[in-house]
Amino acid sequence: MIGRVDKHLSDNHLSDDELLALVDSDTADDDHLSQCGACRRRYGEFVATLELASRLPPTQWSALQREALVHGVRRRLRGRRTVHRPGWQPALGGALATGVLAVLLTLTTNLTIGSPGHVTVISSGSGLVAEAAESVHAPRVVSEDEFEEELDETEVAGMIETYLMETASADELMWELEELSDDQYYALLDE
Amino acid sequence: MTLTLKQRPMSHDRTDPEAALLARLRAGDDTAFEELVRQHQEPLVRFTHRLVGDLDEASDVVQETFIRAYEGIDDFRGGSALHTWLYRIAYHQAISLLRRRRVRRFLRLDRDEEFTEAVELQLVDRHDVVADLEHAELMRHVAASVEQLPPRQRGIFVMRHFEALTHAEIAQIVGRSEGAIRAGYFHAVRKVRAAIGAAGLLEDEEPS
Repeated sequence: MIGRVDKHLSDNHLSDDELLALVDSDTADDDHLSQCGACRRRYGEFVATLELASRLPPTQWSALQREALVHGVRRRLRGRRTVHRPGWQPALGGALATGVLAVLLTLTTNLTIGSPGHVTVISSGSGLVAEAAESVHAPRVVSEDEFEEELDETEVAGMIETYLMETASADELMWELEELSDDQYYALLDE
Repeated sequence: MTLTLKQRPMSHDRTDPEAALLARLRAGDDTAFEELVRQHQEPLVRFTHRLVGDLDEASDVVQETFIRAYEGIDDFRGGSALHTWLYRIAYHQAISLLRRRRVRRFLRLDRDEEFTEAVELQLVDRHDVVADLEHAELMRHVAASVEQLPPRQRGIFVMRHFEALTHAEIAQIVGRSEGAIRAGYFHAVRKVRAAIGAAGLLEDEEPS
């Protein structure tokens, strides 16, 4: 029972929470309730509210729907198993592709390595990472054409990003929003 | 006046059959998984239907729940009953769906639907509701008052009132304290009562 003392005066009514605690415990056995008509009425309103909610029609879930759901789950699991590959397969594929690329790039760069300050391409576990290697020798002068070529790649990446941002479908947007925390999400709604 | 018609909470202690089922699930026994789907689908559909308001969507949510359960069975530590764990997955899936729906409304993609609903509600004369509305209409108002609850409160209300889960179980499912669940439930009941009361549906109710 709730910790309440001396609520017998009519100007000292039960709070909503106290009334709801009584309703929630399925008991109307309370000294104050038996003596206070106003609280009894409010208690009755809460009980009536829940009674009305209880009268909402139950979900109709037929045997056919039951079977359809079981079948649906089974089908989805089968689909997942079909596309499932052993964990080593993608890793091996990635490693092979990286290896082939590395060999090709090594051969290519060896042909031009006479000049210091060359651009190296190194492979990482998750893909290829290009970085400009600072040579201890005198820096190579990057020609205007080469600079534009590098800039173009950056620009293209930026354009792709912009395109994705501007043309993302509603579903993609939902997907992004789903990643937000509750606080971030409600802050967004408030805006 | 009789008290609420809610079911009494069942015993949710993990029993030996459940432990045996778990062992079979972990061993990759597909028949055990189908058994799990058959055993738990109906309460989950009932729960998610109350939560999302659409039976097809509820069915999708429950399917997704079972798929995730299948994939995550090895991570289930047994800290709660199996059904509580399934409820937790279903709850989060349903809340996620409700949030996406709210965002869609926020982005005004569902503007027409919302507008129609608003007009329908305005057409109802408050003072004539109790006298004139038929049972279905009455229930439409009650359903609307539950549906208007914020997703989390609706979830708590549905779990407590319709599924008769204990506050402790709901706390496990939602990941909040029992006190927070109790407060959330009381808030929900107050809001439903206010909505029903505003429609004049409580006027003739006699206190017990």
